[in-house]
Amino acid sequence: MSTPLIMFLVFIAITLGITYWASKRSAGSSAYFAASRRVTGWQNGIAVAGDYMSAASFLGIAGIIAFQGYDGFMYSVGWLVAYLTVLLVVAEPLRNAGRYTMADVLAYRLKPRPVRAMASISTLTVSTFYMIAQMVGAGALVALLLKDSGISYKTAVVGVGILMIVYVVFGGMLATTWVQIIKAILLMAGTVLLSILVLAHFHFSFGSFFNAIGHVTYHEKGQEVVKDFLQPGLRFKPPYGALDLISLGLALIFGTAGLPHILVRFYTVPDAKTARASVVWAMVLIGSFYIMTTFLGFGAATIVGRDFIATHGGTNMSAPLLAQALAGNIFFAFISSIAFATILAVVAGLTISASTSRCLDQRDSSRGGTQTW
Amino acid sequence: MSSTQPAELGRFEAQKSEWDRIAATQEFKDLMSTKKVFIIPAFIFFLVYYFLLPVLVGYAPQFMATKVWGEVNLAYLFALSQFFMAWTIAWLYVKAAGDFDRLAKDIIDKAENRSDKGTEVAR
Repeated sequence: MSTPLIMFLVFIAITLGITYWASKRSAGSSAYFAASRRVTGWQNGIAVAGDYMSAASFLGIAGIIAFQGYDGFMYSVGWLVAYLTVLLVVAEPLRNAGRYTMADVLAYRLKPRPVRAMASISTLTVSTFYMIAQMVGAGALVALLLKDSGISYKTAVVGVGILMIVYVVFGGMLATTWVQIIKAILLMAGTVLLSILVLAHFHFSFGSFFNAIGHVTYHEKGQEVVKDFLQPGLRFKPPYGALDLISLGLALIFGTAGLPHILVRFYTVPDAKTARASVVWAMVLIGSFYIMTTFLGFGAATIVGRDFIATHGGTNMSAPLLAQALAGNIFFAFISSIAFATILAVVAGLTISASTSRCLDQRDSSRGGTQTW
Repeated sequence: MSSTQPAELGRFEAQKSEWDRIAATQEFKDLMSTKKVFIIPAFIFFLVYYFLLPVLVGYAPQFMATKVWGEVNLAYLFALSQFFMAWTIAWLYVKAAGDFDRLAKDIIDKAENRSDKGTEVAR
């Protein structure tokens, strides 16, 4: 068996163990949908960070920086700053006024029935699109890493889907939270390690690291080009680049505060004060992670190079390929299985938030919206 | 709505009439204005500070490409500063929120003392 496959299986075994443990503790709706509201501030903070740092962050952002330099880093910035919206206006009122879904809060001020129906449609739409991207990532990753073991793209996607349902059905929010916490810790560990290795490659000199970023060589249409990757404009070009950037900013700053799988997390803590603490924990982790995308992305651009990545799995494989270039196949397998764990955990989070909304909002909506329980 | 829901552990839940009475008190108005004094300026500040980045990068890319230290340019430094801006506002908010918690606790304590009769105070 190949090393990546063993690492995948170890993670799956651990998470199934957690699910079994959680299933013994999930009785009643508050236990199932909100982990009995006993998750502590730091636990929920790590879980929020875990829910947020999806495959798009680890694989996608590293890739976009590796290929388009500074403009890719613009994603990283908005991803953290968005949490100020969550901290200042969303988290605490949500916890104070709601019980299981974001519609609980909206139903106070608006007509409960249509607002629950709309919130549910919105939750399912957001979760579906989010999930498709994660599943594609999982399929691509598994197909690339495990091609020797005969697991096809299709099998990988179906397998991830089945695992997800097992976590959520049997473990509920408690299992989902712990899967998320373990994954977030793994992801941070992998990112820190990778960042240190990138710096070590440049003999811990920021000067030579940034100097390399200023002169990235690759081939475009058969021609060798040297570009300054710190200069804006490689992705967002005139005439509409500036508007694209502003639109991206708006989507990040206001969109994050509406992500259903993030919002449901604030129902797992005992009170608003803990909800606040968990946002702060999440901001520390998320901020550190996205600052380190500097090393992942620019590291991949300078050490591995666009040309190599493009012919070895494409943009999304930048971080794993960087790991391979710096520390060989075992580290490549380790980083890849972290990416895989990330996908499993995020899809589990999406599944539980979608099913909570599907179950509670749509039921309440069909009963006239005032049903309480 | 919430009046018919069972109270949660350690959580104060008032009847609608009681809630309306609390909302009309001076203490509650003080709590809301104390919150607004911090939250509204902080929110506006971070929006302006954040959107300056895409606006400057989008409309003045040459200026933002000005090199400050070796290859490090204004664009990267301003982007990096956003992280510290976000952390600083979060830290200031947590400090300010201590006051919100104190004011809220006073209101809840008063309401709990008033209503030993009907409204349940956690089980």
